[in-house]
Amino acid sequence: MSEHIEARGIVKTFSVRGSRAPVRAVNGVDIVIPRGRTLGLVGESGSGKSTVGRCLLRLLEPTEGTVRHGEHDVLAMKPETLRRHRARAAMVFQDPYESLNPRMRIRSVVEEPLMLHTDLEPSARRRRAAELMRLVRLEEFHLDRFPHELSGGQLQRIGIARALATDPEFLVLDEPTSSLDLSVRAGVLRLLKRLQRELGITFLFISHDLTTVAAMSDEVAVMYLGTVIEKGPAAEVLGNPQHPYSQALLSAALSVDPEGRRVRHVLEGETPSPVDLPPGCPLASRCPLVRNDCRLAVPPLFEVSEGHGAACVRVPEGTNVLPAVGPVPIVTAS
Amino acid sequence: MALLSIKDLRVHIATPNGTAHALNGVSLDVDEHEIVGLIGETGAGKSLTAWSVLGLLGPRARVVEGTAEFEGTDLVSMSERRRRRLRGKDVAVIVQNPRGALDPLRSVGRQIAETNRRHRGAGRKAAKENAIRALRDVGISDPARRAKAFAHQLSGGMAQRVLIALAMINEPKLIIADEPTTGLDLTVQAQILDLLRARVDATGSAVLLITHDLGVVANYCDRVAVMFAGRIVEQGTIAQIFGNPRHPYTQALVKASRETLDETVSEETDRSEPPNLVDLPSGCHYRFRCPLAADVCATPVPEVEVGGGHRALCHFPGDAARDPGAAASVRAETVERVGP
Repeated sequence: MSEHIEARGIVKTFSVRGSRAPVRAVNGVDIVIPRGRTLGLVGESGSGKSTVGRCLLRLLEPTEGTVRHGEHDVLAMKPETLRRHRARAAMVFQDPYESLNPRMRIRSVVEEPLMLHTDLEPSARRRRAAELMRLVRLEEFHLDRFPHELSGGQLQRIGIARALATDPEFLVLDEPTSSLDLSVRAGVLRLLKRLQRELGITFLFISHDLTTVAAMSDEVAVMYLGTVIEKGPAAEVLGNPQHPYSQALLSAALSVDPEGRRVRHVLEGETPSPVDLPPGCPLASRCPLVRNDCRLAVPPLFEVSEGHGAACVRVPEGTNVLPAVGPVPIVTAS
Repeated sequence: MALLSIKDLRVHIATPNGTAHALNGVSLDVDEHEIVGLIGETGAGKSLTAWSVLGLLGPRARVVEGTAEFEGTDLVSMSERRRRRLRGKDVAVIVQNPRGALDPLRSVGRQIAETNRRHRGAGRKAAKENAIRALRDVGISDPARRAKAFAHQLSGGMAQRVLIALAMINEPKLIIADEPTTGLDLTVQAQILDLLRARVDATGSAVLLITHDLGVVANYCDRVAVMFAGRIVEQGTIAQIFGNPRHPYTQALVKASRETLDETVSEETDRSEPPNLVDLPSGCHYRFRCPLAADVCATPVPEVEVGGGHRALCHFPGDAARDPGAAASVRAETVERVGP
């Protein structure tokens, strides 16, 4: 299968005022997405997943690494080429209330990328805007509204319409439904799936919500402290997590139908600061299975099954399963 | 008698476009030993309900009617002086964005100790010890050292724990927690909610938990109230609400929470515009989005008790409401009955 998006060895550091050591937000990440497929990128806030997404679009300049989009070398592009490339790849942001200008009518929001990237006449832009509204299942009259008159779900549809205006091949969806009310979330996800089916767009789907990622992704990569610690087919990674962090993360997800008592894997403490990272596994300071060789070098991804890898030194010997803590009492209605 | 009893609370907010009817008769009880979840979409009035009870409304918002009795005394009509004595002592609050809620210029230990001294009259030394113990109780390792830290030196999860320690230090009877774990890692969210639940079970205090996460509600709350456009449209136990939701909005929410994105479901035009609080429709505020809406829904909505404290604000709260076919016949019948 042809790889549509292929990034290798992405590193992104930020310098921090008052500290000589830079923050290593992304610490050597590979991302490969076949054309028309979805890679789900999971991890807590601060794990570097949004930074990876921005590096793929070159909204941020990676410190190290390569990014290829089809046959194009994105990082080698000169400003003018990059500007034209931006029509091929777009981003949908997390919070549609924050990312849309409150003083602009929806029409201007949707037509703006057409003005920047195409030479369509005003009448053709209007037709395209109306077409985009049908594509995202809104009415044409919504174009004459202001952002505050629409629901979060409707605004996110506008964000998607805007991203689609120039017919991109690749979309980075950065937590597109995290700030939406539950009642409209499924509608937006369903819309994205249909758009991918109809238009063949490649998605990087960034989210901390495991249910959403499971529903959307072909493959899943789990990030922790700037490193991909596990990746593979979505059903494999989410159904049979191998890295201790993935195991703890999945066991902490709260179902709306808690069955009796929940068994949980507990990680003590919290993620250390990405400044001055110690060598070795990023989870070493919290992992109950830690041993000496964990602290020596960042473990590579060890193969669990075909296409499924986990960066834990215990994987090859099969001693990587976290002890279950619990059962944790569940509150039942009295 | 309920620990907190909110009755027919109505709040107006002055906006450039006119008066927004933000709360339109909220009634809710919170008892000892229980965590009550308050859910609903953005703008439904969840946080506003909490701020009204705490007497922390901004200058443009005004309680125009209703009471919020805490242990039998109305917080709404109480003088700000008396309310201030209650807040931080018997009624505590945990907000979202914990780092913003802490004083950046004083160490967290000092903030906790001062709250303890002010409201409980603890001595300087005792207050300091209490603060360290409170930090240990919320799972902070090396609490004596952490007490000397300032807000900006803490991670989000650590700051949230400090805020909980601050809320717990005076052993409040009621804690109002507004999205206390939003933005935290799942592994940290679980630690914080376990802690809150353990404190409620051990001390008999109560929590009003505002959240938009139904997973949190199902796992940690005893009862839940669902808000829409400034009203509680349904309330009941977790089993009642998740097992047998009666209001169409609750039904949509519960269905969405179990959504598996079945691709055979046809997509419809998204008409989820929020209700205009300046010019609310008569009758049921949900009727423009409701699949069961009928003419009768423009008339005042009854609150129907469907058994065991389970209540819904709807003209069609029966089992029929879950079967559109049956509902249509009820609807036809009702329309005929009240028709023109």
